[in-house]
Amino acid sequence: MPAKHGLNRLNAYLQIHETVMERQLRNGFVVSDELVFTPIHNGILLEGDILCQGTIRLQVRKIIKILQGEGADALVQTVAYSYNALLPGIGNIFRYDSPHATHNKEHHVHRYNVLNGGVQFPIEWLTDEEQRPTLGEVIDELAAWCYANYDALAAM
Amino acid sequence: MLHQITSAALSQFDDSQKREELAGLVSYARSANGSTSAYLKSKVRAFETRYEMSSDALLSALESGKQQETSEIAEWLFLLETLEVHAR
Repeated sequence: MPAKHGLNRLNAYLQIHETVMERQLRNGFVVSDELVFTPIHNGILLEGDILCQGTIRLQVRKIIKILQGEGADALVQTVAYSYNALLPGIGNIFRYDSPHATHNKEHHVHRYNVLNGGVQFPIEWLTDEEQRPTLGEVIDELAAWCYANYDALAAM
Repeated sequence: MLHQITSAALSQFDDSQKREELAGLVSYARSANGSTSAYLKSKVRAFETRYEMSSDALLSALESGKQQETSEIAEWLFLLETLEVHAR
């Protein structure tokens, strides 16, 4: 079984990305995909917002390194990411980050009690690869959070 | 000129067009392009201006625990990481 965050062909990576976004757009949680691919040296930066139900915004930043090859079949791997979910004007819901060089040097997630003053819970460390979510899993988690807090969000 | 393509636009293309666009992205990525550096650096400068702090000072403050990591700081950090990858 391939590693969850292992190497992939760029074309296959895009197919997975599109399948995830199509599913989320179809089921209605995602309202708009505003992500942009920008080439950087030997890599691709994927950044932008995914607009969701309940005015929730997911800010996505990923560095996809091109490890080998050319064209659509080049081998790529995500080497850094940040998925920041927020309620604009209110606060953050959670943020998954890859390790930083200066602090928080392991994969981690920040969670906030956004509907009750925005206090941050202790950082959770994601020491196992399986704990580190894909973009699709992040959107699923956000949808579950939105539906679980539907009444509170509707009253805002 | 900065070569960018949106995820939404890519999804509208047929397989052949997608492969062509992806090949274009890889080709641009292989030829380290000055406009990408300028794009990333301008975003970093906007943070430095807003916070009245250099990126080096930010890194020192984070390392010493004097600066907390907020979502904006995380965005700034990610830009610095992207610039570092870009420079390799």
